[in-house]
Amino acid sequence: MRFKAVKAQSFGCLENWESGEITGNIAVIYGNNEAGKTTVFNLVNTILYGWSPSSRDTNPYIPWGSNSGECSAVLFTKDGKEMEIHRRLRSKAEGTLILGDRSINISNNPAAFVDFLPHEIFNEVYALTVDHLRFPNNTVWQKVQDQLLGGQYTSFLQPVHAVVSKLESESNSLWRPDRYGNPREKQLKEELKNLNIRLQQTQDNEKKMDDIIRELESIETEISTLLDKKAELTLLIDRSERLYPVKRKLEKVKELNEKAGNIGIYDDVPLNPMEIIKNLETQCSILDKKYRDVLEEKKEITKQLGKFTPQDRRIYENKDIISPVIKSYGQFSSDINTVSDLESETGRFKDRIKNKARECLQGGWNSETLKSLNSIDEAELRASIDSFKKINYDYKEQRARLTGIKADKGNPNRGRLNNLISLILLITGAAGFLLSSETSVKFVSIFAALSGVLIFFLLRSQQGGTNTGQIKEETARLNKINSLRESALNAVKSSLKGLNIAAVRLEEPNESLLVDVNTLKDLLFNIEDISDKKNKIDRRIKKGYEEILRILDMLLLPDQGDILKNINMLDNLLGQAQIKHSEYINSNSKLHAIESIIKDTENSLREAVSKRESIIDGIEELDGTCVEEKLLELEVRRDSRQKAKAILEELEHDYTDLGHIITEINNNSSQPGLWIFDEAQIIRSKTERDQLDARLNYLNQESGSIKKELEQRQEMQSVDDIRGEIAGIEAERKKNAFERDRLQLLKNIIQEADRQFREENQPDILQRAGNYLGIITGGRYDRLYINEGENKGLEVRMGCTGRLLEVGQPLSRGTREQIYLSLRLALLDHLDNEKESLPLFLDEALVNWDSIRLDNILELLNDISLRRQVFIFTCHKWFADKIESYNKGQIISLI
Amino acid sequence: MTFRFLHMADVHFDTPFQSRDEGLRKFLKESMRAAFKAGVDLAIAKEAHCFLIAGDLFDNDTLSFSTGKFLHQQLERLNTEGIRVLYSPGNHDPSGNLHKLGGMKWPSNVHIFNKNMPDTVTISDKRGTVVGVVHGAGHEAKKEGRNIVKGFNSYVEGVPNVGLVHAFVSGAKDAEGHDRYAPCSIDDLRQAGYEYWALGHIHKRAELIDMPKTVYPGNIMGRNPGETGSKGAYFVEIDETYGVKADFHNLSPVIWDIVYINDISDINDLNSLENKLYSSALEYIEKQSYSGRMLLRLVLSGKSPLHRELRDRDTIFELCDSLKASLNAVLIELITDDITRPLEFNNLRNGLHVLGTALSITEGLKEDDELLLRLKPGSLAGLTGSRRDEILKYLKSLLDNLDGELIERLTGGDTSEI
Repeated sequence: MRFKAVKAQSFGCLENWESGEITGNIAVIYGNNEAGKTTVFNLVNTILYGWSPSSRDTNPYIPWGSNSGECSAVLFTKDGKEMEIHRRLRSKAEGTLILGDRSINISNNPAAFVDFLPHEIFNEVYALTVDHLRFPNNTVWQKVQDQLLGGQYTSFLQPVHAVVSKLESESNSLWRPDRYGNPREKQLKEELKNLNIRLQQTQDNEKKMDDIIRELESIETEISTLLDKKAELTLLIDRSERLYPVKRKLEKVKELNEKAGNIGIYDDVPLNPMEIIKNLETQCSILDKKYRDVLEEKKEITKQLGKFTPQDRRIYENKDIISPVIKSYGQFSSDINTVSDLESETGRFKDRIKNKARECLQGGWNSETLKSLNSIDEAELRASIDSFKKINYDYKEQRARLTGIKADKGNPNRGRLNNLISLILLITGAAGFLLSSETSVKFVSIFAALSGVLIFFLLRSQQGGTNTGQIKEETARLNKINSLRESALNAVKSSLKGLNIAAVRLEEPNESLLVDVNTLKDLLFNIEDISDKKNKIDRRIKKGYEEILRILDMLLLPDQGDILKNINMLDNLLGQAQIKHSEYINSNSKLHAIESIIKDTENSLREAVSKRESIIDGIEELDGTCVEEKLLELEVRRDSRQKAKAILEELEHDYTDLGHIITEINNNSSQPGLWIFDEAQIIRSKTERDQLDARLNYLNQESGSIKKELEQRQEMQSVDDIRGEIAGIEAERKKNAFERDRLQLLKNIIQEADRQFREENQPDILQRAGNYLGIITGGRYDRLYINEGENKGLEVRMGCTGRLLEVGQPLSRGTREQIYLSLRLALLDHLDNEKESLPLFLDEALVNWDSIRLDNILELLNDISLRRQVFIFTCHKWFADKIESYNKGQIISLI
Repeated sequence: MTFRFLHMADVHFDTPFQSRDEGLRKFLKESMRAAFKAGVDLAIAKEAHCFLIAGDLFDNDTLSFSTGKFLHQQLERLNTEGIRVLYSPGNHDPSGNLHKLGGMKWPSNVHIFNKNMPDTVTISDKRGTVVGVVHGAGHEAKKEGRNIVKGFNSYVEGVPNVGLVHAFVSGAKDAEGHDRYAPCSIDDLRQAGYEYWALGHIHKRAELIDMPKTVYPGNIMGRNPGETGSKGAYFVEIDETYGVKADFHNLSPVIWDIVYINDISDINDLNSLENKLYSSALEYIEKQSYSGRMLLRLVLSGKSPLHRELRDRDTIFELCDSLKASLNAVLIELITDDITRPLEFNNLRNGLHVLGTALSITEGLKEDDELLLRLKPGSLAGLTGSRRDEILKYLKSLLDNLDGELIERLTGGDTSEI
């Protein structure tokens, strides 16, 4: 096919651009960088294959500011048909193919004549840039081979060898047929191995738990049996322990009663006859001795009774008379002392009254003083003194007043002072009035002057003729008062009744005079009072003494000459008589008691002898050769009876249902197996029970430890759980194995596809490439081969020698690029062989070639252009011109 | 007097739950016990006269101590309530192997039909009145090939008759795929003349016929993604007129199921995809009126722009984790093997490149056995058999969706240029 014209209504940077009619086989699209050369290629691409991407939002060739893109082209197919293709991208991609007068809607689909070649392959293979021709380095060469020779010339395909390698690696990571590496299968097998070990352990554990359960059941059965046995044994032991002591005691009672025999007939014999007999004998001996002792004691008491004499009896019998006298001893002693004291006190008062009299009486104490003093009335004296004192006061007042009046009349200073004050006020007022211009001051000044004048005349008028009359009047009053004073003084003197008071004290008598008189009177009174007391005591002492003398006479006792000595004598004698009388009474009482004891002792002695004989007579029938033996026999039989009784009482006390117990004993005793007959059997049974307990303890411990073990074992994983985990692993293994096989199959399919593709496509490509290479290199290299051997890769044949060289180092870079271009061109021919030959696009691919090679390739392009249209994009003018001249290329300028 | 009983089957105690997740295994084990206990609770609550177990009570010959202890406790509960337990062993727990369950102690109320020769047990209520009879027989060995139903005892007049057996009924719905142990036909069941056949063996619940009422209750809890839907037992009441009322009761606290989702071609991001998966799953759960916690497998298929993300294990894990939380599920599995790129394979298949050639080869491999055998990996990890047909079958199973993988591998996952 060939393009006749291309038009961009709105496509990328091209706006209403037209190529014009393209007439030649080679078209040179000339323009600067960014002028739109690549856009032209994509425009052609879009014409042939439609918009890609098909959304105007993402398609890069929708011009800026526009919401649609549009392009069209006129072209010929190899069968000579001319058609026009119109593409537009708005909200959706549209396409129209106009063939003759037919308009065919092709939407966004490729044109039918390019359907054989995928869009991406056209993109990858039919456009060559200088970069595409640059021979890659060795490491990338493999990719190139894959791309060119492996049919993977589209960049969307991964290199086969890489894919295969990855698949191999992935599948080996899952499963390997050999023992290399550490695939997942190996890990899982290891896990399985461990799980199987655990499974075996768990199965053993489950089995062990079953065994444990059986063992536990066996133990529990044995425990149950032993408990039953223990309960039975315990019942038997308890019953035996409960009944056996009773039974044994009952047997003992029976034995003792038999031994006691008819002991009842000796109940009159005391309980301890031997002791009693011995006691009685001892008692007789003691009583006999006692009897002799009390006789001796009676004799002694009788002797004591004679010590209480008739004198003692007389004094004792008059003790009621003597005792008050003895008691009055203190009174008499006190009275005697008091008399002595009063005498001393009387002397002291007499001294004091004499001293006081010397102080206040003229001539001291004399015989008249006592008489005057006794006749003075204190009230009278006090009243006369008070009257005098009042009148004397008035007298002194009047006298002072008179003296004052007289003194006032004779004082000149008082008049001068008044005159001075009046003068000062007058002068001040006059000066103020004259000197001051102020009206108010003038008034005050006048007032002061008038006040001075007024004061002067007023005081002068008062002092005039009053003083003389007043003195006379006051003097007369003084005389009158004085007369009254004299009378009062006389009254005082009269009240003293002639007491010889010192005269000076009677000039102005006052309370001190009264005090002195009273003091004297008090002292005198005290002396008289003491004298009365003393006389009274003297009379009492005398009377007492006379009474004591009378008593002495009655008792035939001598007077000691002193009342107090007499009383002491009586006191001593009475004391002795009372002691002796007490001893007499006591001895008399003892005598009666001794006589009673003597009588009692005689009776006791007789009774003891009688009792002893009675006991000995009572045991006469008992066995024994002597009293001691008989008594021993009696004691033994009695003891047996007592013991039997005590045992029975104890049983009745301990067992309230003794009757039932005895019945139970009797019943059990008659049935074998219900009774343990002796202590030995009980001990043996207890021992057996202890053994059962020990066994039970052991079994319980064993049971506990087994249960604990069971609990621990229950915590282990169960068989089904491990099997579940194993199943999980097996499932993963199965999945992994499947996946591994799948990956391996996939790898084999890809390798097979690669092989087939190479077989089908490589020979043609290599032959065509060899032809192109020969033209480009001028025959230096003329064939290409694939080395399928160990060193897989591409080889080139030298035209002159036929030698094969590996494509790679040490071939020059230029040679390698020529090889690469040859391969690409051959690939084009291969891809559209016998189909529509699609255009070749060279974008600055040849500008760097030297002139020889360039000429060679341009020659080749001439040849190629005969079969397919060639578009050359360049920004180099020289290159465009060269194409134009050398290849008759048509220049389409974008400038 | 109405004869009341609970009918369950295929408990499969101590099933090894295939998972690497210990927590999940433990949870499922506990759930199975919970389901059985719920059955016991139901029987007690409804005052059943007997409790029928139609085989496969145990999954295998080993019984864990804890399961034995649990089962004993539950059977004792029934014993305490005076409910008899009639157990007819199946192919998983034939009576000949029951002795291997060393730790298992059967309470006195349990009757095991431990012979393949049928036996008849009379059922009485608590007052001693006979309310029904149960005819039963058990598998003695693991592969019972005989028709043991045919030999069941004659009809006992006067009370309802019930047959209890673990058997494969030919022609039963969903029976295919199950081993044909103790096979019998519908006619065999009809001929016995019983009012009710309590069957076991088929794990999917099925009521085969109404006259007589013949029921596979299914297992009491799904144990893998293949055992889907509500699981439980039947509570059956046969009244004086021999009218049978059989009601299914969901016992399982967990439910397995699969949701197929194939319309994700227009979903371009993972958030939207998660929303889609969530709404699809929720819609399905609500439609099924499920009440238990789910173990859900979401199978995605069709073309998806997210095909590459859906092959990433971390992405799938995160999606599952998130959906598990939002759906409060026990387990979410996301199967994306059938997700393909949004490509027209035919265009590529005709392409003049290695990929085109490879796609043509895979297309041809489906028919060309020789080529398939030639391309077979030198050693096969997933097949131990050496027969040609086995190998071919296996190899062809490897071809599923291989085209997508091929494109993925050769294009490196980048198809923007295609």
